Amino acid sequence: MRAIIEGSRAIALAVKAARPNVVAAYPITPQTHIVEDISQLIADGDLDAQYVKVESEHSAMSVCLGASATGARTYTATTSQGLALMHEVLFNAAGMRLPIVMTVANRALSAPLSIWNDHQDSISERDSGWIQIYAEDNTEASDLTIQAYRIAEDSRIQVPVMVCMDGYTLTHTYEPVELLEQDLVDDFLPPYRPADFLNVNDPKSFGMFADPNYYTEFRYQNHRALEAAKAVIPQISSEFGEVFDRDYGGLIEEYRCDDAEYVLIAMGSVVGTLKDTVDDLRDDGVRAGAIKLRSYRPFPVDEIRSALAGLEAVGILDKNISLGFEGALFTDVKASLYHDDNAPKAFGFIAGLGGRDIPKRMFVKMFDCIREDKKISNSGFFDLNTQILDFQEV
Amino acid sequence: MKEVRIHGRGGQGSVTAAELLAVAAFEDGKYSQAFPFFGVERRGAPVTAFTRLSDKKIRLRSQIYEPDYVIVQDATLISAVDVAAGLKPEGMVIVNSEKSAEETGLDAGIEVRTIDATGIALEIIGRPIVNTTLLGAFAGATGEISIESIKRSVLARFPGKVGELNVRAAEKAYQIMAATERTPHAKPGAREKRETHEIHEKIGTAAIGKPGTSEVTKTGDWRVFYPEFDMEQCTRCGKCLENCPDAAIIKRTLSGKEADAARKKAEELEKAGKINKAAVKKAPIRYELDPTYCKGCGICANECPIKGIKMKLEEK
Repeated sequence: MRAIIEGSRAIALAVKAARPNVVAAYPITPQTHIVEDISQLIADGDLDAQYVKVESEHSAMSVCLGASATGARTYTATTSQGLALMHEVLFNAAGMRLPIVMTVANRALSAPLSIWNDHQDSISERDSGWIQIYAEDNTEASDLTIQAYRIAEDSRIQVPVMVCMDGYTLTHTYEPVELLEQDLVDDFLPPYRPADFLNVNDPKSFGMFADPNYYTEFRYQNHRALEAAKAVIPQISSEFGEVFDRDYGGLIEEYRCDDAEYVLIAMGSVVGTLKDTVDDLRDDGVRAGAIKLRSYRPFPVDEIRSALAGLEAVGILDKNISLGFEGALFTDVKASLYHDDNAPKAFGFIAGLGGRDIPKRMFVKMFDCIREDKKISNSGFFDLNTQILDFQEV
Repeated sequence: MKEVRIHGRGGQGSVTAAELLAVAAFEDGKYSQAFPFFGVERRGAPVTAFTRLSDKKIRLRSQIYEPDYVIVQDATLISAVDVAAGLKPEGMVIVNSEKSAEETGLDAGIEVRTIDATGIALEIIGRPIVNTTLLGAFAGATGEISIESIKRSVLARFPGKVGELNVRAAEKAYQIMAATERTPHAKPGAREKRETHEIHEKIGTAAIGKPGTSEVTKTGDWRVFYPEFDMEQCTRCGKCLENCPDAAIIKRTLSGKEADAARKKAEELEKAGKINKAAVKKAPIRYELDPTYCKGCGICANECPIKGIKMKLEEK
């Protein structure tokens, strides 16, 4: 059934359909509507879960960690500073192999203070051992929430999953959303039954000390689990497609790439605008294509290599920056192409930071750059307003 | 695809209007999308909200730069924001104003339709919340959406009496707009581009600001209501002054003849038994409004322990 609702509401309803046992969250813009809606669903008796009010995001993630260790299905959501505050607990959740699902309503990090969207918050948790999948629209974000539990709880994986959706651009947008039918979700997502959980009758310790004889091997297993997710994510996506008739494909989605000469790679909701731009360029006879990167961790090295094989040039949009180097996605794409002799020329674009809008004309300019092999100035900052800077090109 | 941009001020329901329009279009069997752009989240600050209506699934996520329609919830925005920026040649601007289209100050050549939505909302709803009224006007003026869908969408969001009053206000605005023909478009000439949106001021290295920006923002422009002080009953407790978020209540002590006159009047009131003796002494202390910054939020009226402040509708 299709309904027109706010993105945040869609996520709350998806969480409800996933039947979590424990939700612990601390409200922060632009995640607030999601957790308000969930607490209301619980208060109204529409969702049988325990909502734990906490004093910070660090506590929210700690509660999820503890609850998950008891075998409870857990959920939380946060953004920006809240995600940063969770930082150390994120590593613990991954290392303890707890299948927590979290929505990240992507937002910029301070300072300067910004409540608006970019991807710096989740990108900065890249190495935490969590799977990160980025949604293009609210139906996908909702569907991913259900799939995330299947991925996280899969015995081959057992790592937590972040479902990343753009703050405001998705969370605060009203648009038609395909609602999840409860009976189908129940079939698709059985109750969580872990092999190991905290149980007084069968005592175990979680998150134990590992001396140098063991630590490396635990890290290796954790890494292998994320690598294994490269096969599991598409598998669960297609299984979801069979049940719900909506298949998002695998780790990446290729859009009009078959005979493309020039391709732009992006993540999140801006991909919609990018696809429209590709259509416009195709109408003008330009063989443009787009790649939506869905899974950022694990990173789809093989899929990127095969999608870019034979291309002239590729552009990569980063709504983040590793200060002192370049956009994180740009680095990863280039690294993926390192062993290919005929790798396309890669162009990195940093844009859309702190809520700056990316209209179609900006994508057209990016395509112009890669088609004409232009020198990228301003360290790749593509939408810089140089008029407000005392600017000197170094 | 049709694109609608709504300009309003925080607290006027611009975002809700965009959402209700999207819901109504969905009810009409269309695809739609509504989203806000918040500046500072503050009552009275300029807010923009967007709605797209289409027969196909909408993928585009950028803001709306070339709208088919613009709705202006507050005519005072016209001097501060280039509300008609990028308007399509065949586009239309609907302004909440009791003035005529020509008097709005928008460029000739743009089709402007005005409606006194504040008047309608005050008459029917009893509050100057104009978003639903303007949606009725939008339906009547553009025909892009049915008034029945607008009504359903309003009632779904605001059940009961509130919803019914909003529906009546929307209906009235619809009738007014539907009864007037669209003016044939004068071909818009090269519109003078205003510079209001462009930021040219240089920034420093870190985000370090200077104080005093609240002086620059003339929040008085945002006012629909203003507070009227009953200085005869006022005990001069100062609660209104302390609670005013914009320091727009000024304490002034009269001197000389003015003070004598105030005291004399207070003595008369004391004799008539209307005030006590202590109040006579305080009579030369006056609380006055700074109209440049009072945005009419009504916090003073709410805080006044003797209910001696009444919010009055501003005559524009």
